[in-house]
Amino acid sequence: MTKRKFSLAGDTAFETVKTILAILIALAITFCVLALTCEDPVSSFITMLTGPLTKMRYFGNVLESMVPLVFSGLACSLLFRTGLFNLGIEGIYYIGGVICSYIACQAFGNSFTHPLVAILVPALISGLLMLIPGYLKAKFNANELVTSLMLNSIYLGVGLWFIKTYLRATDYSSTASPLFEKSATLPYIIPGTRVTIGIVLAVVAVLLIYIMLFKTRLGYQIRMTGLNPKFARYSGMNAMSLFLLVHFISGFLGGVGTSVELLSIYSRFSWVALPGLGFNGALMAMMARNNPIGVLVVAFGISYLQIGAEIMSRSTTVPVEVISIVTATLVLLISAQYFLRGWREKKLLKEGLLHV
Amino acid sequence: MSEFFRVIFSEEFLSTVVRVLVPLLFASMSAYIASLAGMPNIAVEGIMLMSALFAVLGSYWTQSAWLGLLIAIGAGLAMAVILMLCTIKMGTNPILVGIALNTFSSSFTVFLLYLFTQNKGTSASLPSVVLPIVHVPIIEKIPVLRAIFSGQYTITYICILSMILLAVLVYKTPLGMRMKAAGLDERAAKTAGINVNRVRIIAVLISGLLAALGGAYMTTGYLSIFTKNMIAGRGWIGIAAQAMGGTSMLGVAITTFVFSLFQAITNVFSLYDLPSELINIIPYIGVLLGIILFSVSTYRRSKKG
Repeated sequence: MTKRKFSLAGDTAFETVKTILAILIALAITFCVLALTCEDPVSSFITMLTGPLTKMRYFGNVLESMVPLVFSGLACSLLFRTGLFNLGIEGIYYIGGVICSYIACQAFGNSFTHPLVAILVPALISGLLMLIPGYLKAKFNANELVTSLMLNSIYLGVGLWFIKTYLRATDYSSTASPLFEKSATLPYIIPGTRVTIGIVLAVVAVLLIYIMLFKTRLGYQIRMTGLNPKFARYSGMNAMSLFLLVHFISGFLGGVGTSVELLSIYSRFSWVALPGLGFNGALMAMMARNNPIGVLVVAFGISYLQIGAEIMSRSTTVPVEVISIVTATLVLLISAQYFLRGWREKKLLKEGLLHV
Repeated sequence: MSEFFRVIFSEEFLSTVVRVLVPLLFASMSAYIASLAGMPNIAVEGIMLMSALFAVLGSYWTQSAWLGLLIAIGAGLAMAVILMLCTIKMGTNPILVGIALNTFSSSFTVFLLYLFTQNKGTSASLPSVVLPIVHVPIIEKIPVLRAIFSGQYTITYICILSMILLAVLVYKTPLGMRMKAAGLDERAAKTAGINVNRVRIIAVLISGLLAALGGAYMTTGYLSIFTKNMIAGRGWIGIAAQAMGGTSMLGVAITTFVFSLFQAITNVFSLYDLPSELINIIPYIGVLLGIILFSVSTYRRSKKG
């Protein structure tokens, strides 16, 4: 065996170059926007990039806000990998959150069993709810994009009605649940921050999904079906049970994600609109190319920039939403198949000629 | 109950249906023309939102509602161009681009709103101009018809006009035929000498234009201000209507009409003391059931055939 020469046009290296370039372009665009909108763009930009590192609490914020993104990102990447464009995780985050809040408001158990029930029950129900679009897709080939979007709105309506009718706090001005029981909330694990066991669960979930995808038969089936559904069917894979299983797992992940988020950050349920975490999960999955480890990295990166932008927005007139420019640029450039392709082809051709 | 029917069969109700119908019709036609050419546009929601904001900003900057409308159309077309560049030139999956554009516009509009008004919720502090309400001379006097065709916002008439133009384009011109061909079978269309990419580019631009008009309608007629996430799922309903109507423009239009009827009834119901959250989801359940019935019947037919 001859040692393969390192080449910038090789697969992994090319993806890395592409990603780094995408990040640089996204940051450059952000800098331009800052230059147009605020008085001191250079220092604002530096605050945005280094802010989270200046205080332990800020860095804790980064870890906190990445947790729900990791879960929704994993859920979406599983669906996308199977070739399913299902955006139902958004609605799952809402309805799962309502169920979790209901359990969190009941007094029972201790500080171990209460959160356990408040995470597992919504997760199971969420998994089952995801089977609705999953079954319709698997059996009747109903467009999962449309059914999942409709279900999102339905879950929002039902959840909001439930909160208003059965779980409304009387001592609170706007629509929200009563305070969660103390025993239900997750304890902080890093002193000086509000980081909970949620981050550990997120990392564990990433590892489990990684092993499932790349080391098991089920994972192989998922990857094959995503690459070529027809091949998968002809080679004897049962699309029906595969679709159902993938939907269940991703719903389960969504349920865990929303419960962990609520029990970590919130003291009561106060969402009156879809939280947007599910759609953001779809973006995470896209930036990570549906790779579980990638989801972890991307969720960290985006949360880092998000917290950086929040710190920056306190001292400038630029709102934190500036981050949407970074995210959109990254998503579009990274998921673009042809971005830099011409450059790569030239490079490959040159290298090929050298070896002749 | 008789009160309910009295409301349903009144002229005001008809006129409400039309008011609700216009943005939904723009949305579903925007989704329709794009997917007819085989380039699904699920960024309708985002394009509408962006144009709704730019209609307000534009009319505030220029103090002219018409120039505001033009600026809104420009914003919508810009979004369509991004969609087009990413999908046709960069080979990205159109669904993924759509998701990215939708999330982008829901925060970017807040970003712009805050920059210009220092408020993240509404544009109420911007004195923007709205397009006039049009009274059509003779129709104004005819019962029933006057509820539909007179006293509506300007864009409602633009909507009627664009529906006619769209129908002509799709069913009576070679370009419409090419779009259908490109949507049905890309390779066959290419073999027949159709420049598929060019046809799709045109379709996406028309789709962006229609969505932009729908968005502008929201802030230059229906309301006079922009509020955060004000499109509130109208774009998605358009996409659902397209999914049900398929390649038949009439089918898409009828589905859209049924949805707007649902929404108008929802508005009537909200006068009564009923759980509004549950009433609000009726249209979505309607869409869901429609999609299920449609898929089940397609499934049965394919089993038989």
